[in-house]
Amino acid sequence: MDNMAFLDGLREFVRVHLNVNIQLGVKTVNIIADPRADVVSFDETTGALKINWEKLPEDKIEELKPVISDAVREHDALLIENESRELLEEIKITESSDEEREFLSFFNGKIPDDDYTALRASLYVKKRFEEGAQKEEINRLKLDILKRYSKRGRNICDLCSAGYFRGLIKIYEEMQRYPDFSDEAFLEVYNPIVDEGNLTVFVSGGRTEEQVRREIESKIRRNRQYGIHVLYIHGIGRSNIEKIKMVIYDLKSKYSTLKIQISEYQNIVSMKLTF
Amino acid sequence: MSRSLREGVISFDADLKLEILSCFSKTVDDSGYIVECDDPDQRVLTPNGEDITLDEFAGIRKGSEIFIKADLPSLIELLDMLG
Repeated sequence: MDNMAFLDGLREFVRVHLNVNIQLGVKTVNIIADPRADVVSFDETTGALKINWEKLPEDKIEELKPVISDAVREHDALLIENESRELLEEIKITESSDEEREFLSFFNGKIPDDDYTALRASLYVKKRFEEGAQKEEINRLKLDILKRYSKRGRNICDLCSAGYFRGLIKIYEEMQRYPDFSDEAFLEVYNPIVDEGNLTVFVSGGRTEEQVRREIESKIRRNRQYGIHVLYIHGIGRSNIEKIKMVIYDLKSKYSTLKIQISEYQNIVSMKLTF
Repeated sequence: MSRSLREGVISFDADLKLEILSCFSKTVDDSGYIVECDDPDQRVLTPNGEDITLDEFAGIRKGSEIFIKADLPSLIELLDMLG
């Protein structure tokens, strides 16, 4: 990237039009609109050059415009609004931790590209939620995902928030132990889960039978309340499958209209409950 | 990502979106969409083929004129392109 050349152009603009001579050390350029700030300022420590558009006379603005457009068109500069730049940096930081890098690299190439981007976005939403971000910000970020990826994107976000993608890694690893395994076989399990979204109960890890029962019952109650008469359950590992079956057995006596469809793939069970 | 977000970057305040667009001979139509100054019927497009409003506008990068939306998936895609 011809980085220096665009900085030269801006330095020259500042020297000729604003009578400020900056020899070296410009690292960042920020075009601001601040009635209280100087027309130009340079921080020698950080190398930050600020040009205050609001204080520029009209003729100087006309001189600055081609310098900015040339920086992008001819010198490969990225022109970006400050809040978006901050968000970019935040995403980059989120994805640079060892844990998240490992998590994301697991799914990269295994799930569809759009799902992978939706998952990365969801991971950022989850992080902001855990950091205590305001509800408005969380809703706005979720809406970004929904607008681009529709219902599937929203489901990915919900499942990611609930930690289900960690469970999907376990499903993949479990399936991988069998000789006829392929990524396509994993997608056959993965796709319905992502399509079902929060109509799903996912059972993995060391949960007690009582915890599994509570989650299934509370989701059945919630779904019925909103006129939804279906719930999907996915479980991995023999002990979890046994727990699910015990809970379902009890539920059959409680909900007389309960119908159950079961499919099993080695150590993984998928159930569709209609009630 | 190899490219630093602090190198080769010109950032700008949100209040200056319209002014920045004017550097590229772009303006905004009555519905809030970014259009060509000399052809206001022509809305600019993102790489995904979407038109883009002033509110959604995050910036421009080289490659003809690649308009960037400020939503989360678009910024993640930008991160990959910068890498």
